[in-house]
Amino acid sequence: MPRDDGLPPGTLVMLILRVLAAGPLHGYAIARRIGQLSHDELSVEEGSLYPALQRLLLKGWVNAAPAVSETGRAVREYRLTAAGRKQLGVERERYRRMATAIATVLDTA
Amino acid sequence: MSVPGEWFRRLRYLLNRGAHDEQLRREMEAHREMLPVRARFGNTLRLRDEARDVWGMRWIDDAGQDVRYAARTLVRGHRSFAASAVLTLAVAIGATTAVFTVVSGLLLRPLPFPNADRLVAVRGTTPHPAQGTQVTNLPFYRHESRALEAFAAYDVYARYMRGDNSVERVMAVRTEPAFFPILGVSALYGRTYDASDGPTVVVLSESFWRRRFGGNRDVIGRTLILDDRPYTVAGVMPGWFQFPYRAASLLEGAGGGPQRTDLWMPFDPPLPPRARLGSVVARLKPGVALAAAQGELDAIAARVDAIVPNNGRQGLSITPLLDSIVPAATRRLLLLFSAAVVIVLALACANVANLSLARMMLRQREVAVRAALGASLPRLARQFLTESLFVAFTGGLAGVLLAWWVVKRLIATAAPYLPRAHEVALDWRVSLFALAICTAVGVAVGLAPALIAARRDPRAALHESGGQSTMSRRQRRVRDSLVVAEVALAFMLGIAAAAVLRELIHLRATDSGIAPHNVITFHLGQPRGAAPQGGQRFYEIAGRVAQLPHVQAAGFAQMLPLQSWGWAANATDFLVRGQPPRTDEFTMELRFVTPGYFEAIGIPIRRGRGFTEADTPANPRVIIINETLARRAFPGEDPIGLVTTRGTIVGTIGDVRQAGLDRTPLPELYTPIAQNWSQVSDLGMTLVVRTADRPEPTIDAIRSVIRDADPRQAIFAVKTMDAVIEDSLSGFTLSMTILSAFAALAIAMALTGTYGVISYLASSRMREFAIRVALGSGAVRVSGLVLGRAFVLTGIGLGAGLLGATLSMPMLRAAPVAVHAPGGPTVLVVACLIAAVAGIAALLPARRAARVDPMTALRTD
Repeated sequence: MPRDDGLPPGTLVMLILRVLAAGPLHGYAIARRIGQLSHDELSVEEGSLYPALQRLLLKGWVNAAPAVSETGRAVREYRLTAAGRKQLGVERERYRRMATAIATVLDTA
Repeated sequence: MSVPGEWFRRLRYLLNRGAHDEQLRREMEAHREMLPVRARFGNTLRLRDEARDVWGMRWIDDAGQDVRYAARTLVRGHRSFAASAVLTLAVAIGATTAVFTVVSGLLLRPLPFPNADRLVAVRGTTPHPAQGTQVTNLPFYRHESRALEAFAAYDVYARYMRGDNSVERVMAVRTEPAFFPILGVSALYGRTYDASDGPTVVVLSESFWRRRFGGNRDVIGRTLILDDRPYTVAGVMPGWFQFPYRAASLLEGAGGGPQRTDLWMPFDPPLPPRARLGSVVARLKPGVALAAAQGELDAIAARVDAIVPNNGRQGLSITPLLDSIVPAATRRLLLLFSAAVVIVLALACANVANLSLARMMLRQREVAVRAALGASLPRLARQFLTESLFVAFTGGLAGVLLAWWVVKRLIATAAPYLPRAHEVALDWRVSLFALAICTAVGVAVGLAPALIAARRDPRAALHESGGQSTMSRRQRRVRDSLVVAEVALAFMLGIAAAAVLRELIHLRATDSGIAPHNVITFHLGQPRGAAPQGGQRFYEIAGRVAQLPHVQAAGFAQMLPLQSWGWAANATDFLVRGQPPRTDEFTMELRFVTPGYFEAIGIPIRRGRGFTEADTPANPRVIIINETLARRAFPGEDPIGLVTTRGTIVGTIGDVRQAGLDRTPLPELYTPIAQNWSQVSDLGMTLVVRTADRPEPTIDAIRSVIRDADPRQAIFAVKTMDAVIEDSLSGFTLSMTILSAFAALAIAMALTGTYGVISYLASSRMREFAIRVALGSGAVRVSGLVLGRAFVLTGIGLGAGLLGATLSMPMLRAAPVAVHAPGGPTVLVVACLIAAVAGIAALLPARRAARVDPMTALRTD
């Protein structure tokens, strides 16, 4: 079970897919990028990042290739596959619909 | 959502998960290194495990761990438990697998022909069941059917092959040319024949080829003389090809010859269009359902009925060829054995479950400790399941080896009664079955301990005093009912086996009506149409054999009692001349004999005289009837001297159980072969010789007399009459042996099961007993408590078993002879046996209880 990181359920996968859409990154870089882009509003812990990455590998949405981190450690770099790119579209669309729906309820109720 | 790609990636992960996990470890470590120090918290191992769990493959590691742990526990700490459990399951799974192997080989395994599911057996139908199942008007169907692409009739015939200095009787299958193409089989060497071949080709079976030609391939193209006509050998069939199965059972006339087909040959001359055919095989067109084909045949039958005069609404019915091969009686017998073996398996499961329950009680502390150390309850339950599965599979493996051995022995013994016996093998079906049985047994046996382990509060267990924990009420009830069920099931099987055994003893003691000791029989056969005129030669042979030293009497009959005895005729027209026709319909058996037969086989002449040499075609026709026919046809009359439609009655003889020791004697009418030669000539004759003592030393002398008198006679199936009677019971004896073996297993398992439960019961009450002894209770009273419990449980079990036996008694009708429901004494004997067994099982624990030393027992904690 991924631990509670304050993100709405399912959105972590979408965020990872989105930052990888810009280019391949290793695990720590993914977490940092999400942090940066959200102005440190979102922080992704190891406990949820790595299970999520394994799921992406399992689904075939990303590939992993050996790489070296900034600190000189052997890590894996994750790269979006065609299926992953498609999935990103699906997730974005779903998120957009959900957000709109929630906003509608909040605004009108 | 598990798309194929996902499973593929999972598999790839599984195959190099070592490397994968290592990469994950490194990248997570690197990640942690890059974090600011304040953020480095959390159990790295646990975080990594959670990431790995996404792949859903952790169970493999866990399972490996469980199996290693199970093996270690069982081999080290619980050796006697493991040994008894594995042994019990090996025997039970072995027996079950053996029975299934036979069932599968006979009923489930497809026939070894290409597209065998399209092959059908064709039978004739008529509104009058008595008219039999012969196929008529086949040419119409052949011409009009669109659903069936080809038909081929065949029949089985004895042929006589001339060798250098003797004649051999061979089992020939005559077929229509489409026979081999329909079955889709080809020859091992040479070729089969089809419509383009002439009528004088033969195809040899592999066994015949080896026996007669030493497996020499030069045989192709050679000439064989069968019934004085030359045939060319076209090919040799592979050894597995033995269609029709059990050819001998389809053969009319004298039996007792070889079981297997020796050769196949075309009908010559070809079958006439109006022929009545005993056996027809056909092939469905691809994609045509059986029901659709049957519908079409019915429609054709209606048209045929309109065209053919006096057809009497004869039609055809088709069944899958596979279903037509194993007779219904054999199927019922297999069902009976399956039921028996399921009982044995259930008993074994009960015993092993019982053992694991007992062990579970002793292991409560271990379980509690492991639970306290963080093993989750489902994980613990799984551990117990793994252990029982481990035991089941070890036992199963041994069982399969056992089954392999048993089936090999069984098939060697039972081959004469089982079609397809040579096709029975441990194939993938059997492997799958054994796998399923092992899993089911493992789960069944391990479920109870696993559930208890999963539910148990670890603190309670740790608080309890070690090893001596008492059973909860529910647990005790479970174990008590196990004993009751075991006793009941063993009792049921015991009753069944006793009933069958009693029947067999009864049959062996039955008076067959003949005096079979010191009697030897010879079957004689000659090519069709080549029989000596008037049968005079048989009188001559019998006369010369009777002159041999040690020989007391010799005579011919066409068929032997209890072997192939049937020759029924309608008795309606069997009347005293001048009387009105009989109103009651019954059949009688016709027997054709020479004068010496009655004395040779030992049938007493009750009144009048036997046949003599003077009863020839030149003199008035004479007959002899048995007492049953005399009573039936001429009640209250003296039959001697009556002039009937079939000749003058000159004598009456004793009844003979020709049809089977379990069947009442049939009405029989005997005539001398000299006066009925035309009815006898084409089928073989059987010589019956009575000697002063053991007949075996005289066999050669008798053979040479026959050969000397008529060198064209083939002599085969030489057997003592005792052996003929024994053979008539052999199928039954075999079934009885199998059933008794199951019953013995069941009783042995009930014994160990009862012992296990009672001794556990006794040891768990040891403290109570110690207190009783300390308070002045005598040793006898204490052991009485244990024995009393055992007898109460056994008594309930016997009651339940009696009920079950009464309900399942109809299954015994599957036995090859009629088995009567066992009477009170038989049931009582079995009940006493089982009660005694239970008593023995309880005796040891009772003695232990009686010897309890209060001081030791109360201080054990």
